[in-house]
Amino acid sequence: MYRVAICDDESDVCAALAEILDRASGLPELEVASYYDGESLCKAVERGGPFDLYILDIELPCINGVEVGRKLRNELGQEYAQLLYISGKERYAMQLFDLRPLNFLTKPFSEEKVVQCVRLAASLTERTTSFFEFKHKKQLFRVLYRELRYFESRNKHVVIHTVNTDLMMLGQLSDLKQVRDLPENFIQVHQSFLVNYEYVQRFGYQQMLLDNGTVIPISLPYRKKVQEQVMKLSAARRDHKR
Amino acid sequence: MNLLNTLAYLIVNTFHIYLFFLAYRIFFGESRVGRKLEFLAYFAFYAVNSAAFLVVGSPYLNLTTSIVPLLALTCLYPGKTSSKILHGLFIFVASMLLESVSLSILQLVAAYFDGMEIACNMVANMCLFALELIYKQTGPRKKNEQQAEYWLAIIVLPVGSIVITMLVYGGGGYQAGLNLVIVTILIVMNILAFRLYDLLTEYYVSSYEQKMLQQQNEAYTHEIELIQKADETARLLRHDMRNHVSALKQLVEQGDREEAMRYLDAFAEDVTGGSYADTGNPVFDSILNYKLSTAKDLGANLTFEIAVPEGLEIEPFDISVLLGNLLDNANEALANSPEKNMEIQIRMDRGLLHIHISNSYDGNTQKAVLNGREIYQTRKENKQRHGFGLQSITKVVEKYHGVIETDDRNGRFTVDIMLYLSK
Repeated sequence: MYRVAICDDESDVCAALAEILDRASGLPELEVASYYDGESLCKAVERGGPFDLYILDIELPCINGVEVGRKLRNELGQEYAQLLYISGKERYAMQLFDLRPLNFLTKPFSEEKVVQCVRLAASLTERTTSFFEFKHKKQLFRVLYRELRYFESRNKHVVIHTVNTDLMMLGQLSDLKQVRDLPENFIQVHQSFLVNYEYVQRFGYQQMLLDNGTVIPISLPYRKKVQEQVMKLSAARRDHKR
Repeated sequence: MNLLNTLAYLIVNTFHIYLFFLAYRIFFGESRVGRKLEFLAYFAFYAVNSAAFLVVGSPYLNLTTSIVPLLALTCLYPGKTSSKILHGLFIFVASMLLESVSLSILQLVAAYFDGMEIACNMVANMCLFALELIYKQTGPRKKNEQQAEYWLAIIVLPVGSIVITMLVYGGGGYQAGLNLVIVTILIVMNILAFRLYDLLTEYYVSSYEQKMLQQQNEAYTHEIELIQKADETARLLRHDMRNHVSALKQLVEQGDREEAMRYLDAFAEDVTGGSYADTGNPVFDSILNYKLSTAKDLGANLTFEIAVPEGLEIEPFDISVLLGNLLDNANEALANSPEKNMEIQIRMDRGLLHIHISNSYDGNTQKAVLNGREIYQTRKENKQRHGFGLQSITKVVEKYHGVIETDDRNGRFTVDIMLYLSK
């Protein structure tokens, strides 16, 4: 079940979106909930109902869409959910882009574009619901790929930074990459760092900033490859929507 | 010393003094007193130094008439006194060392021959010349990166000159007159070759700057045209407003709700048509709206998706060069193509600006090779001007550490660009 939350103060918009999703083809089985302000959405999430995709209006009363997004990302543990913004205008604040939004829908939106975006969001989520498995001290660990923020080489260990905790395993990052087939959204950016693209807030040429504030260097030998891989990921997302 | 040898000495010494001049220019830059006075000062140096050598010929006097004027000449240039003295002493010691090393090597490889001092001075000066040129291209005041051929010339020309000097002097059958002519020609050729190269570089740089300026002017002209167009549309709209209002009023009075809605839809289309981007970045919006309305006028079918933040962290000039040239190329292709459609996606994602422009074209591209890379060539008359568009795009892409990829298969021309906007 793919869970979608729609949040717009105009109930017509919520209803229209729900209807579009209801009759769209090529989507997984959906569970759609509508909220008319940010507070009630946040409360619902807090009570233990996280969603896979949030479709948020930017111009919400009281707390606006940007603030709701920030709260979902930073306070309510929605690091790997997808955010899709709706707006009446095409003018977006810079902070909005730091929330790693999937895309923007401008009102009046076309049905086709809504479905494309939701399809992309669902496929991105689906791809990362498989597990990364490893053994450490005779114990088997399973971590969802989508919860993996980045890998870090430290002496003879690899530290696995997940959204919730840090885990360790014996070995080298170079072995890891060969042995396991990581999904394509994992990018090696340094001899000691391998990063999940989904958690990158800002790419620089020499370093990158992750959503939790970690700064990771991109070393010279990897820069070209990082560029190519990011270009490819971005193109795949564009083509997917077609 | 006979007359011919004296003449030869005078000519080689001219070169020697020129090398001091060149060294100071490389160390300190332009003089503070103007070219005329600078020339006179060096000429005085030359005269005193030559006269001391030819008339008196005492080693102590030769030394004094070299080092004292050399240090005095540093007064012509800007800079700290200590640094000037250091550089003055350095060039003096370097030239002395080169002379004694050349002399020792000459004595080692050949028995004494007539004109050995002149040959030795020639060899030392050529070496100094090569060293100064190398320092000029690598030192703190270097201006541009040089091509491999330039480095080859720095080695080949002076070394070639040294070889010729050795052949004419050491080869037996010493002819002072002929040797004098050969040495003179060698010196003049060496100096002129590198001087010409410098002039050419300067010319190239200034013409490039001119082209950049022209580009900038064009961007501004386009912007003005766009503003005028927008103004005209607004005027037309105001004029038509009365008609629209009365038509709507009539429809509402008649209770024809459906027709009124249709009318309003058409009206909304009319008002928003012609404006494609409204991101709040003035240059970005105006360039896009201008170029896309041109595409629309050509009859092209447009799909576009734009998601960039207000206050995009890119120089307005760069974005105007980039989008202006890309969309000009696309429009040019659309004009020549029977099928006309264009797809544009510009998105800011994770600190990166992704630009994707894909348009139909008639399947003919012309490629040219630039700096070892294959580039597409325009079909417009003035190739030089328009080939520049691609160079400008590449320059901007490089400035933002970006990537550009092109594809011309399946009757579509596609450009993908990615720029790093955060540091």
